[in-house]
Amino acid sequence: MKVIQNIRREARFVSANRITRFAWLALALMCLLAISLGQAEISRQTDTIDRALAQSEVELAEVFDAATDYGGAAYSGFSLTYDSPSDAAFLAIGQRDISPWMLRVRALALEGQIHESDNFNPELSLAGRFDYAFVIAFLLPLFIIVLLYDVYASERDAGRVPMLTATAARPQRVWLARVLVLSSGTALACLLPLWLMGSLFGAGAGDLLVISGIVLTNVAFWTALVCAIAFGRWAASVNAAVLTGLWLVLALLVPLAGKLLIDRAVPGIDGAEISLLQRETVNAAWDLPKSATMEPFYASHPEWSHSAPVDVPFHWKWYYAFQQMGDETAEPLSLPYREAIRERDAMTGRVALLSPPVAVLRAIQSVAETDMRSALVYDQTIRDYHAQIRHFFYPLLFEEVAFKRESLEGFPVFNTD
Amino acid sequence: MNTTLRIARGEWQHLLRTRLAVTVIVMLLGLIVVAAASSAQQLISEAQTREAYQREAEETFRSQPARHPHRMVHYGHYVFRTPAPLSVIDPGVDPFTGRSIFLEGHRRNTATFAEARETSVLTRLGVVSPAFALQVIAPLLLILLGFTSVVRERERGTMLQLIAQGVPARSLVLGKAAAIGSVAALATLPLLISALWLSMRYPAETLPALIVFAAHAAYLGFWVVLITVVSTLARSARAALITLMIVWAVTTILVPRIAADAAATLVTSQTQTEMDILIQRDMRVVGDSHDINDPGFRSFQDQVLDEYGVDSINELPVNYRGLVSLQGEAEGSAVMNQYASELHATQREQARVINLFSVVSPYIAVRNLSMGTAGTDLINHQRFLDTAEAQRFELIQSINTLHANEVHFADDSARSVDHEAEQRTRVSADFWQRLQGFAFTPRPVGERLASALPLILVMALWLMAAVVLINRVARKAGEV
Repeated sequence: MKVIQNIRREARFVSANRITRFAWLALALMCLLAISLGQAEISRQTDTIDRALAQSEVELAEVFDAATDYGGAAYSGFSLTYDSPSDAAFLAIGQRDISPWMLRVRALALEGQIHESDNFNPELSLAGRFDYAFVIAFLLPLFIIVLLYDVYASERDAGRVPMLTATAARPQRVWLARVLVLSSGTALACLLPLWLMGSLFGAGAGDLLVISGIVLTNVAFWTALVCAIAFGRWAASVNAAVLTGLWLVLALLVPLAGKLLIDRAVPGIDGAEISLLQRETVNAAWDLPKSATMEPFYASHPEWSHSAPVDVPFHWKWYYAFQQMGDETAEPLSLPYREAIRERDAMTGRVALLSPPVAVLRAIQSVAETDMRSALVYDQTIRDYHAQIRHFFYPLLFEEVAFKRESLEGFPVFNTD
Repeated sequence: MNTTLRIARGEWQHLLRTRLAVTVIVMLLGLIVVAAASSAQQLISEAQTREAYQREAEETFRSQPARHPHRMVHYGHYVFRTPAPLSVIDPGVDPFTGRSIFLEGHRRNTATFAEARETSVLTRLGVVSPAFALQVIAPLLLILLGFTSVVRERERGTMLQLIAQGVPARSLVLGKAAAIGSVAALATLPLLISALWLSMRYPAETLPALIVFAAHAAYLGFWVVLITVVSTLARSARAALITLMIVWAVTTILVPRIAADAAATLVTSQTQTEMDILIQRDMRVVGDSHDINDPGFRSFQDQVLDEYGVDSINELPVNYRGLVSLQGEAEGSAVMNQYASELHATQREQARVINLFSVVSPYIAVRNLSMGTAGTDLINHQRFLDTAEAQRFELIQSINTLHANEVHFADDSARSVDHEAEQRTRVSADFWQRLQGFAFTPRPVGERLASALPLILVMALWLMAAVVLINRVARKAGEV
């Protein structure tokens, strides 16, 4: 009973403060704005995917209708792959403004296609997006600092501490109640917009719950950090300066230092080497005897080795065989390239241990499936689908099936499920 | 004047006695020196790598064997963007743009392998560069150094004492500003050294380098004034700090992102993928230049026959297939350039929306002024794309011309089925030696400065507003 009374009194006291009310309102408005802008971006992306999908189907049908052989159909038949945003993507745009979420592929060597980027405006990427994850990771701590840095010092400087603690059985409880009210108010300012707008825009209850947990953990961390300083002996202005400095270190300097270290630790492979190697292999085939392509191809694809030998200067099955060999030759570079990206991401996870804002950003992006790992998952989905396309055409090409438009009906449809 | 200097010296002594202030000064200088050094080192190695790749790509192209010209159209060529010299100071959008482009026939490819896609989420929080250190971090550190400067004297009652001793309020305020300003000046020193070092290596970049330096100096000057003014007007040191922190967070953290979202929402831009599909649709009208009987080239055929005064393509003195390739590439490239220039226009429009926010955020003013002048902004990236496209078109058309002039039509038609004909369609390897070297240079200095002019103006306005403000505040402080 005593505790509840304490909390109710503190709640009245705290919410009577104009600055506190203003801060909570500002934070809630920022969350609302961030969620709305995130939703605007994600619905633009969803619309674009729908539009492109319809156009792409029309184009593919046109190509197939005009085709006179399977090789030609495979050559001109682009199909669209896409990475539909998850239900919670609007809360964290993450990699979705630099990594492509749509890519057209055809049966040619994949390494020549998969590294294409979209034309994202780099000046937008440079700033980053104003999404919910950003507000929680970077702005929320500043709000907690502003609200709590003088929670003790203000009363001390006003000489009210003896009075406050004299009336209380346990003095700590007064402060605990006040800190609790201030930080839960701040948490609610973030959570109410999340629950309201989040469910309105169709995020799953589970995702909202996990993200709420991240918000609460973040609030708890910063509250604890701020209190550790705020209940010290320093003057209020020194507290504020020290806390701002800590925020700067945790939010900006640790990530910058981490990036320098990661770049050094995992230099990675220059992507350009993959393209160059793939292109050399593919093009060299034209100047080599057909057997130089077909033998290694049949070695890795024995199921087609019974196919008739190629004895003309140009044959589609030879053409696709050297496309395949181009990818296989580039694989020793392409795999470590992706591995390096994965490794850098894992090291970023370790940097996040030292930088709560980075940890929060990564956690929310991971729930929203907009992190680096999700981008790599999409990359793999494209690779799998491309393999499906190849294996759709290989029987037609290597069995030298006579061309029939109807045979193209079984062309694999890109499906993320 | 002497009083002002005395006040400034006093403030310096105070800073050096305060542990927090010393920590902050050491952090600030350390950060900027590290940023300048690592950025310079990265530029040198990056430039070397890209130049090496460019040379390698050119050598491989030149050493190709005798081939059918259309093989070389598909073999294509790679071009690499060498970083702008001033990217040492301000890499701008470089980490977010692709660094190489594959040039081939029939397609205008995008730039691939952007750094931000390969590294981690950390790249999104800031880039280790002198520009980022001075634009984002230095103001916050200066706030921590200076927020108590004037208000402290008032809180302790030493202000009245000083005024009673005959120190003019104006000198007090300006002296404090001078003390914080000298720290700021110290912080810009590594930038000045970088700028001078670059001017020696690249004399043409001297003026832009100095402008970039001046922009950062002016920006920090603005903050020094703002800090002093807020510290003078604030009722308490903590009110001063909170006010300054809010101004910093809003102008450097909040507004830039809101500006980006506003630009994306107000000006919708097309995605490459959608554009590629539309290009494919339009190319159906142009026709497939691999197929000389494509209906898209029927009227072209009549026109050619007319021009040469012959009745059939077999009688032409040149290879009709090569002519179709030339025509198809010209028409196709016109279609692709149309889409690309529309896209570039939308993106520049988005950049203009962001620039408008420089009126509420001096950070946006200095950031965009700096990367525009350094030649590392969107326009410069588009210039790279356009330069690469120009090289692509020239290369492909020169190969298509070989196709028309050096390959016989009859051999060309039989090359897929007849080994000997196929051998005869290969043109000499000597032709590949003629490849033009590619060297990307940033926009000419004059152009860069001309488009930076509005932002220079905005920056000047911010600085002027600051000077007016501090003068008024300094006068008013005396009346209290």
